[in-house]
Amino acid sequence: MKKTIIFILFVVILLGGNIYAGGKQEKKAEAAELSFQDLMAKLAWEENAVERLTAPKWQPPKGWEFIADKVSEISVINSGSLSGDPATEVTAKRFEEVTGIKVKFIVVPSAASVRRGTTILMSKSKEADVVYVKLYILKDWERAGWIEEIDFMYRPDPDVPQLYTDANTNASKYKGHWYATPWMARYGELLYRKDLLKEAGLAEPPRTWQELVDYGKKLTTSDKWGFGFYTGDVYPLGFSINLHSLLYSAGITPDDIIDERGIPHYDFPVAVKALEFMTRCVQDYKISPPAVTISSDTDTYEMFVAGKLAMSFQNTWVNGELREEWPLDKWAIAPIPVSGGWEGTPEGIVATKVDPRFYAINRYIDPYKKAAAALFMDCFRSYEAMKNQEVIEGNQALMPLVYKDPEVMEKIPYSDIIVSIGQRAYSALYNNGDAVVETLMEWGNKAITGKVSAQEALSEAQKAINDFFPKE
Amino acid sequence: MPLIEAPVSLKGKSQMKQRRNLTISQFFDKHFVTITIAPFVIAIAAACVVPLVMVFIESLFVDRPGEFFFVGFKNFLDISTDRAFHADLLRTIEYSGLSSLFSFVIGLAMAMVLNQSIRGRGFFRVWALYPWAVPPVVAGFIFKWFFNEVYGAGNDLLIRIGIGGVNWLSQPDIAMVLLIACDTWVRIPFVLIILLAGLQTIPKVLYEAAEIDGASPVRLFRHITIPYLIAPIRVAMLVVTMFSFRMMDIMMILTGGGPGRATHLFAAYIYKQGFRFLHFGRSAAASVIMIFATLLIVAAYNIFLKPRVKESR
Repeated sequence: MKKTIIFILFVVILLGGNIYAGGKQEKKAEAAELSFQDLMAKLAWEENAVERLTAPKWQPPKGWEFIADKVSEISVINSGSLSGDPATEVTAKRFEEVTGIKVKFIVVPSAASVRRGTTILMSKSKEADVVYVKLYILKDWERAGWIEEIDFMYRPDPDVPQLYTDANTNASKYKGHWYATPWMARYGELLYRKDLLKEAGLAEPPRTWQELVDYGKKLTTSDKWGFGFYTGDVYPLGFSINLHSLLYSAGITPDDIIDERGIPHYDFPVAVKALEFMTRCVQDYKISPPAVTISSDTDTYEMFVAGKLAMSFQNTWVNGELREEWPLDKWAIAPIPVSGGWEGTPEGIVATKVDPRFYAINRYIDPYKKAAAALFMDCFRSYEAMKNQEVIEGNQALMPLVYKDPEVMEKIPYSDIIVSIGQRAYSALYNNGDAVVETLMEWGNKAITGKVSAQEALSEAQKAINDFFPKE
Repeated sequence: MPLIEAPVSLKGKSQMKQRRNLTISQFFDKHFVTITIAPFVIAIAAACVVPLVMVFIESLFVDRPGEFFFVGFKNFLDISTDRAFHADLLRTIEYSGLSSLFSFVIGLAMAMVLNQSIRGRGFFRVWALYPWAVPPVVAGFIFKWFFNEVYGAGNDLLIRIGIGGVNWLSQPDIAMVLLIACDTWVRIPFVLIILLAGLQTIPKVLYEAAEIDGASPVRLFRHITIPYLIAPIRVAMLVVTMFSFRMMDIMMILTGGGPGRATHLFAAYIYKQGFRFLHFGRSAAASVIMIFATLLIVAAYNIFLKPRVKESR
């Protein structure tokens, strides 16, 4: 008898669970009556768009209130712990105060944040409403149709795209439509130890690749390296970052890299020279540690802080860390040195890579959730949010206007240099970005470790890259 | 007649009802365990079989952002001509083979020592399990920091004693050695605990009798210890080899597969085809190959490590 009762209870629990789960699914399905684009048409995106976005305090577009009636919370993927992203937290709080919609962050380790987005989107999951996007994956997500088109956030006022750097407006567009909004960026820069350069009798940072080598030789001693960069297969896959910084400083632009079919090419002479430069810094000049091939920007930053590295190609995020810890007489930044005719390269120009971070809307969520996600993204692309990123966290703003803010000018060391770096910052955009970056890293590191020549490495890498793209 | 028949019929009905009741009750008694466990067995089987079938189906399609179409076995053909796949597979065989071998040799040696009546045996037995308590990711970080070429403790020690630093992780061969060392370090405790349990089941009288007959320690090891340990060895080695063959976490932390591709393993190939190259069909095809490779490992151990001692009760 007892066993019969247990069995009946068991069946009831199983069936009950299924019925409950099914009911929840149905409830969710009922919600969709208007499309996302219909909902967005109800908002006055065109009204004072520039004034609204550049105001000291963000305000949502008129007519947004009905969204807050339907949505109480949205979920957003965050790259890394929130304790490391105080600016994101502050801006999210502001969004919650204004709209009443709560923000639930899904914290994902930095190296896995984009992959997590990929798994959510490819499985059509509703786990995250707003996904975190990096440059190298954005085109693939757009092409796959996994993220929502958001033309209404840019098109109604042609001055809105002008608020941001070209790198952003180009990056967030695919086949003439917008799919993402920027919220911060990282530029390539030369970070150097002012005190160590001074000790070596060097008053100014190097301005050309050759000067970089000469300085590196002077600064390299038995217990420290003169010049560092990072090309390891660890987040953020630095080989591509450093290669592009060198290419742009040699006068190359993304248009020179990407052909009319959208396929990137890296086996051209200047690229070979750029890889040769990195290789020779390690192999011949011995000014860079062989460990660059397993390093990330964090590794080189730690070497720099430990006094083991005098100069380093870096991402500008480290400026935020340094300004908290160190006096300005110990460190400074400069643009990436220009090629200056090194070993037959062109003269070059001050330019660098930019690595913008975007938010995009999961296409598989409820239309009202999408609408709330659009409001969230609008908040994070605003002047207030970008200023928060720069002032609180040291991440760079893609809205140049932020650097004219007196508070930013006062609080951010070397803001004038950051602005000058940002004036000619490029990002090469193509499909299969992650695969291309990975391939370049693999072959580039083979060259740097002396296994193959720079020419051979880039030729082999190019063959592999071509295979990622359709033949016609 | 009818007066007599009626009670019989009523009796029959009542008996039938009783029998039916008894049958239901008996049925539950007889099959209670099966009935209650069945849903979970089915759920677990579904959780294993369904993904397996789906991976196989996926492997027959090109599945990339914006593209999804049937291609038959083309993904398998593409993989078979991919030089990176060949290199990764060979490297993984070498890696898992060496790692398993070292785990076995060191684990067995430690188990034999800890099976002796030595002072502080309890302490050493607990302490020997320490690497097992360390998650592989953390083990990767421990090795990475220790062998960091610029600020790691390893080079610091070498420099202090006047040998000078070594490029541990940026030299392809040394990086591979360290990867194997880290994996071995993590897996030794598992081998140790299985083999130690095995050693404790060997009757002591066998050793005593053999010693009286004048058997040397080597002969004792060869003719008593090893035959009795075959079953535990098979379990330990099977698990260790399978785990090493499918390992990715330590590699991603310690070397990231580099420098170049010098330490890149098969599991990372599958991961990258899917989540970096967004070529999910090809990633699924590589996964199917890994499943078969794992089954081959299981078959090989079952064939070559057959128990030599028959259990007698």
